[in-house]
Amino acid sequence: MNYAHLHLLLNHVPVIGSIVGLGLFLISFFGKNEDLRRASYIIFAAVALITLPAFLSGFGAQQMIKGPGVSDALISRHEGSALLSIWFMELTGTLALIGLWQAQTTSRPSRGNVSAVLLFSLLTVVVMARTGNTGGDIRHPELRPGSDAPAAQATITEGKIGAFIHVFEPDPDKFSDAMTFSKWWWTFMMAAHFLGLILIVGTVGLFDIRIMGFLKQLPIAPLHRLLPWGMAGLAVNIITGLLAFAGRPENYIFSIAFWLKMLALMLLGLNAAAFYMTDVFGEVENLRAGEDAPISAKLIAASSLFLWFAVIAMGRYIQPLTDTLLGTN
Amino acid sequence: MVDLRILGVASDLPLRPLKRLFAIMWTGLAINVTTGLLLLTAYPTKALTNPDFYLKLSFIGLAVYIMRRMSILVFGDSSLSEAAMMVRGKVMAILSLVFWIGAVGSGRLLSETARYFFYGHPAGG
Repeated sequence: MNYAHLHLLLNHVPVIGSIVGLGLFLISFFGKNEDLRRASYIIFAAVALITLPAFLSGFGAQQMIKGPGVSDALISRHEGSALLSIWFMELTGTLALIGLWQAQTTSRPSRGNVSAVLLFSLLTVVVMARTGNTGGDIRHPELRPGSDAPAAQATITEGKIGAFIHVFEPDPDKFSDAMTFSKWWWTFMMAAHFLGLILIVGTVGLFDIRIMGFLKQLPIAPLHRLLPWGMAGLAVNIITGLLAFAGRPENYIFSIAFWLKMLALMLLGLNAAAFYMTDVFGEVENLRAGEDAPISAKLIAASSLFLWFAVIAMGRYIQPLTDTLLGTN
Repeated sequence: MVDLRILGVASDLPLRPLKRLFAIMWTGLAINVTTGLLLLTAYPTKALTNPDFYLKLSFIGLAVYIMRRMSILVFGDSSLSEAAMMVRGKVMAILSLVFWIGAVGSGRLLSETARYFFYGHPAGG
């Protein structure tokens, strides 16, 4: 397993997953199928999460293949496209999570949410298709019969839709420079990253230790209602994390701690699925003061605490372990 | 969390049981003071020539003072109703939030405001 392999493995998820999610979502409008809609939202959220390592592995893949015989212009175009589409993907996933949260109390997402998800999932599929296409162009010249060998392409001809989207795609080098030009901006992003961490630990952490049996004088439902603040903190951290990565990818991709941190985040997604998609959540959401949670809930809460601690610890260890992974592996 | 609850966030959470969180808070402070002292002995020049470091210590001192007052005046007085606790604790909660955010913020800025890394080695631009 190396970066290119990881990238090729994972990049199927945002491209195909967003289409599958959109397909189910559109079908849910026929017959007003709320179960199908909920399933499509779960798919959007899961795909948004997995898109993160798909995006992050791109830089390592680039390092592995760049050189004579591979067009830098094509790589740069793909990178710019990814820098645009990642935001649409993450926003769609966020809107889906908000809709799922709303559906807890009112059994369905709000109409505003459904409209927003419709708009952004459609846009996501379009920009992600372009990302997939531009990525394929890097190594598959047979897709564009009659064009020059890839390395010779200094200028690239775009189709109409591609040219339109290209207007919005950031230039990767300029984007990196924008993130790193000011140490105060970088400091601000890191400080925001820390405040997001505090929001997560304060809400998710308190919820988890209550489930594990500490502070049983607290009822669970109000603690659960605090979780959206934790998710807001997570959103801030994903945004600042992606911006920091785009600014200095070489800082991160060669650090084993960074990849362990990403792995912990993916496992947290699985953990959340185990909590919410089984009946464990139903068993704990209405526990009152003094009542004990079932052992299944305690195990999920314990792994959540462990994994968030791992995320924080690995985050701190990124810098000291900066050059632990070099080259192709 | 305690500060926000005193200010009214998540008001259906009972306030009085949160007193037990103070044990965790004091433990955390102990860990940070210990590791902080260790870091200080390792890099005394870098810390003590950094004006921001003294700002951070001031924020922490103020925040800890507020924390102690809160634990006595708000959570230590069992004659207060929860509503009365919130009234008495309101200003302290606001100050506490300000001071702790100030402490974290100034801590984060330490690396940017450092004047010297080691004795005789000024920090670059």
